[in-house]
Amino acid sequence: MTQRKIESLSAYMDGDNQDEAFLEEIKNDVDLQEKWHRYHIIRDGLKQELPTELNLDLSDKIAQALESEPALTSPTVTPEVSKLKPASPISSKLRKWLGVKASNDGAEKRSPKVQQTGQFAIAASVAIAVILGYQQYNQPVAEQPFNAAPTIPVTGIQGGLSPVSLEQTRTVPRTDVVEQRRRLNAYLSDHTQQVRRKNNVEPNDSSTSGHSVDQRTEQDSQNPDNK
Amino acid sequence: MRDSLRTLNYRISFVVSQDGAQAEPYLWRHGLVSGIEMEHLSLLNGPGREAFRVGGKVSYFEPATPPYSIRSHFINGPIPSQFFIDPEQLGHAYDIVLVGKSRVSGLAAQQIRIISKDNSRYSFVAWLDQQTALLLKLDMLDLEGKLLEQMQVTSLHLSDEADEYFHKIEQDKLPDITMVGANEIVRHQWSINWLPAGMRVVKRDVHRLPVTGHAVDYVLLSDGMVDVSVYVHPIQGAGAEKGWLRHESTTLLSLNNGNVEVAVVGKIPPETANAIATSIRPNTRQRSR
Repeated sequence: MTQRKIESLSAYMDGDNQDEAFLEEIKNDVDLQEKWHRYHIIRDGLKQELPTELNLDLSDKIAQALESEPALTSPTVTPEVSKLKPASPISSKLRKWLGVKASNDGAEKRSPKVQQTGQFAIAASVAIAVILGYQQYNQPVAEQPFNAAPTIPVTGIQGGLSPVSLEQTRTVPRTDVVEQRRRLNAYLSDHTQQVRRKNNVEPNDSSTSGHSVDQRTEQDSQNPDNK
Repeated sequence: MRDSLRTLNYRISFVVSQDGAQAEPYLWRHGLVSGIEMEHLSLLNGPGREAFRVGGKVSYFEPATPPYSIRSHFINGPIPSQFFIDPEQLGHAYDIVLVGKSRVSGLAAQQIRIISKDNSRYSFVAWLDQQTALLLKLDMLDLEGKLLEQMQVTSLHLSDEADEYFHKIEQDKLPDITMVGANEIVRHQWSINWLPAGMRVVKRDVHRLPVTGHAVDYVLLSDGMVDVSVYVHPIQGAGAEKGWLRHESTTLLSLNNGNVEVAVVGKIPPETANAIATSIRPNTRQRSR
């Protein structure tokens, strides 16, 4: 590429050189086209007009990559699927999901369309897994310093007390839920008790016992206003 | 205001509403009967909850638990009465700003704002009656200024004589004060290394949770306006849980810190609860604060 061409290009960008011949030259010269593109990005950068996300022209590279990629061949039969025991509910669900008939000869009878559906399903589930994984990975962590993030700093607790409004962003094995609910209830009710007893202070003694319910005197449990 | 709370004979109806909960109507009576302060707070909906105070003794009558009395100079109800009785204490934790005047419950009211000094707790807006300085309305706002809890007086009745209701209380029949032994000073194997400004440890002990029976190390924190409970116990099994939820306006946060599980409960923003919980460290040597 000659200095003249670069200068002309620069002039063209500034709107000076407007002749048709040079336009043709650009059209035929890939290097010049790239330069044209780059110059515009540089100019925008200098003017601080760059978009927040720089949209580099990747179309060529992607096209190349696509061409060089080996064609995906779909597995003709999915023997793993057909081998699954029909009794297992998961496998039958999976079959249904993949568009496979529950019968064992389903694999042979499957039409190409059905196969395709199955593959789409797999592709979709992979995509979902990727998204989920991404979300998981990007969840805010509890160790954030105080006030660093105005957003919720930790994930929600699963399960929840019945009277509790709950923010839930994650699943936990079912068996924990009941136990957890009990524990949370315990914390909440104990907190109420403790706060109430906060000022149950003996004279000249600043430490009080927190033995909760059982130490109460139970004598005389009549309501005082039942006169 | 403290004097008003202590010396006037009044009968106040108020309603407490919380985010995501039913509004709760209360009746609150106070009177001086032959020099002794008497106070009665009653929840009017449902099975009800009653609390009586005679001098320095408060008796609670609640469904599901036997009645009991404790030694206290105020009823622990929906109003942070300690604040209004002991406002000086609040200066460590909150800035109090006079805002302006407005009309609340049909009365001329002075509005004040109570903002935590380090912005780590919910803020409050209170409206006090200009004549008696009794509380007419109290809002609790989260850090974004969203209303979390509101107490609103619907009627305020002052009288020269104490309500005759108080004469009906048979003091002999109130349950005796629960004697709490002066137990030994508890030393925990861990300490809290960060507290919001003005918050201090009120008590610490080891006790069992009422429902599960788990023994926990316990610390009660208070800044005069809100109370915060901190529970610490060793992680049991795979019950590793991490997270928080809001029960009405109370935040419950639980996380694993080293080899202990920490739970923080109180009317504080989850960020603050998180900061308290993560600041807990095992004691290196005998230091216990």
